[in-house]
Amino acid sequence: MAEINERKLTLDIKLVFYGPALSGKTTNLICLHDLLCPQLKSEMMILETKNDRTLFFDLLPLGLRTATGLLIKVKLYTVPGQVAHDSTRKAVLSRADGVIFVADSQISQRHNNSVSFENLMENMAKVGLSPEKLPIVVQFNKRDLTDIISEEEVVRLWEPTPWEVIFASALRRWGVVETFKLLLSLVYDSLDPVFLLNLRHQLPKSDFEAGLIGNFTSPG
Amino acid sequence: MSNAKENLSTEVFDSILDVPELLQVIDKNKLGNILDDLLNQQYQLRDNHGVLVCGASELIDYLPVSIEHDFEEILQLRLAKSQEKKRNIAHQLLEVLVNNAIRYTMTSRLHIQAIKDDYQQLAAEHRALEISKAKYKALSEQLEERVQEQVLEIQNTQLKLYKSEKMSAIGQLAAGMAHEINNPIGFIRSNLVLFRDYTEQLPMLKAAMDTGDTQKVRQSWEEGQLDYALEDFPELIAESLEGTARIADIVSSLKDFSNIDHNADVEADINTIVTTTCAVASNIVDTGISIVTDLQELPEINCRPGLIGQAFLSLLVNAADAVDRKNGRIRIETEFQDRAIRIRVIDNGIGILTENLNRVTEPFFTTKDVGKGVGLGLSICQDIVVAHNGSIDITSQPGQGTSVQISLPAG
Ligand SMILES: Nc1nc2c(ncn2[C@@H]2O[C@H](COP(=O)(O)OP(=O)(O)OP(=O)(O)O)[C@@H](O)[C@H]2O)c(=O)[nH]1
Ligand SMILES: [Mg+2]
Repeated sequence: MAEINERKLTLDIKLVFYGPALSGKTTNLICLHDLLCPQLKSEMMILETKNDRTLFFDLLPLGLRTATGLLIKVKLYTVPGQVAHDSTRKAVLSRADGVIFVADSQISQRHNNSVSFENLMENMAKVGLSPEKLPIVVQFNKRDLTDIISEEEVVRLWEPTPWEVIFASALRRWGVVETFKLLLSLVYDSLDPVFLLNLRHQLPKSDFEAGLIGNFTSPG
Repeated sequence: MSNAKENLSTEVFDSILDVPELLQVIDKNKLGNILDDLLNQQYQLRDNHGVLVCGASELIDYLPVSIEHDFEEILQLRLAKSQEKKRNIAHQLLEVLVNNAIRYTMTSRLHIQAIKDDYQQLAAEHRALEISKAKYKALSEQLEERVQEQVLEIQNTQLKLYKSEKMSAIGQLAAGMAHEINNPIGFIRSNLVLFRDYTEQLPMLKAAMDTGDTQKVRQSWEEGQLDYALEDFPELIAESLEGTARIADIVSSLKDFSNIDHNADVEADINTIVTTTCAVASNIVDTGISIVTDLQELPEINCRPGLIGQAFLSLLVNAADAVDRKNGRIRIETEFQDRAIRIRVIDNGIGILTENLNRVTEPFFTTKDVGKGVGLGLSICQDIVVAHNGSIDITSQPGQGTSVQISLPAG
């Protein structure tokens, strides 16, 4: 849960990329690392991996300083998608302020997607996050492939849920920043009433997004 | 230090890192040595609280180089002007060090957190398992008890049925006996009535004799038809004696049969048991049925004669029920071969249908009319034979007859 450190004047925001193994969470993060031009950006931390599978987490820290001097740190984490690393996944998820659920569009991965989403809901419950309150964006990744579930089908399936769906190809670098931007917007809406970002820190949503994304223009 | 280590494990893995905690994973002495070498001891390294980590105790004119983590300074390197050229390399070195320390700390915290969580989950599962194990154990104990109770109950009802089956055999036997005994009793009685009639003439004859008048004596003799009496007496007496002998026979075979009901293991001759049982059975089977025996010499075997007799009797009763009442034939053979005694009961009765053949030894399987037995006969027979380590073989041809062979180990 985000909180302001009054002494140091910092606000930590934690955003987590969740999803089944090999759905492209790490690829999403690398893509953001390459495409974003935030006010403050530090080195991406890709932790121990085994055959390119995340074992612990990846971390991309972004930062932004408001006119009032508040340092907002946004930390983007990926969880390990492999079923076996559930405790690690839960620990990384804990105290998240927003989640991007990266689903794998391939037809063969339908089952894994739903298992992972259920796992997200379970772990959220375990670490005390409510699905009504936590901002979640669903990304259907790997749209560049051919053997994939159709957009109509995805929309039909997710229409009844409260979550918005974005189509992307992290490999081709499209849809990723859009997903991120949508989440930032939701997160701003959920944090502003608590921390009075606009009122107290003179940070309207547009500045919040611009400060973290930079002048990015969608290639499409 | 131990306190710090504890913090390391209890804190959330991505909680804000403090410099002292970070420095814990960096060997300060080695760092000092390297920096001393690199910067000719003309530097100071201070943490974000201003505390000196290593370097010169005093430094007057210096250039501050900030090492950041999370967009905030966590270490400050103060370089003497003379070392200004090494600013970049020193900065890079410290950045790599700090980054590695952070990586290490976060990973190990996360790792410990995950392991702890796994452990707790395991412990919870273990507890749940223990609880269900205890439940199952209690349940299985209960089950065992219940099974035992039911087995006992089944044994009891079976015993009752066995007894009732035996009673029905004995009942049949008794009915047959009654008939057989009634017969001689009937003619002995009518003979005795005749005797009584004749003897009632005797007082008249004595009175005539007392007069001394031969004429009167002759007259009285003739009136009493004592000539006939004289003629009939030997036959009546012989017949009556034969009748009592028959009754004695029946009673003695019955006694033998009840004698062999003592269920103790004794050395016994199977032929004797067969003969006794046949004697009993001959009284109850219809007279139209012929029972032929062909008994070869057998060694005595250790057995329970009462049970063997019962088994054999039920085979006989079955055979008698299967054959024609007027000209049925039952043949009984015994032989000793290959260290086994074989008792065969062969009949020319209705036979057993193939589909029923392997069911006939099942308890309660019967094709007989209701009232003729509950179907335990062959089943009991089988139990008895098996209890003697023997076996039963049944061959049958529907319409031709059945042969039942009991094999008992001997010698
Ligand atoms: N075709 C295609 N492949 C992709 C896309 N995104 C990721 N991949 C590939 O999918 C594989 C797995 O990607 P990662 O980003 O490592 O997956 P992950 O979700 O981090 O996997 P874990 O760390 O095991 O949970 C890699 O070979 C990527 O190149 C995409 O949009 N299209
Ligand atoms: Mg990964």
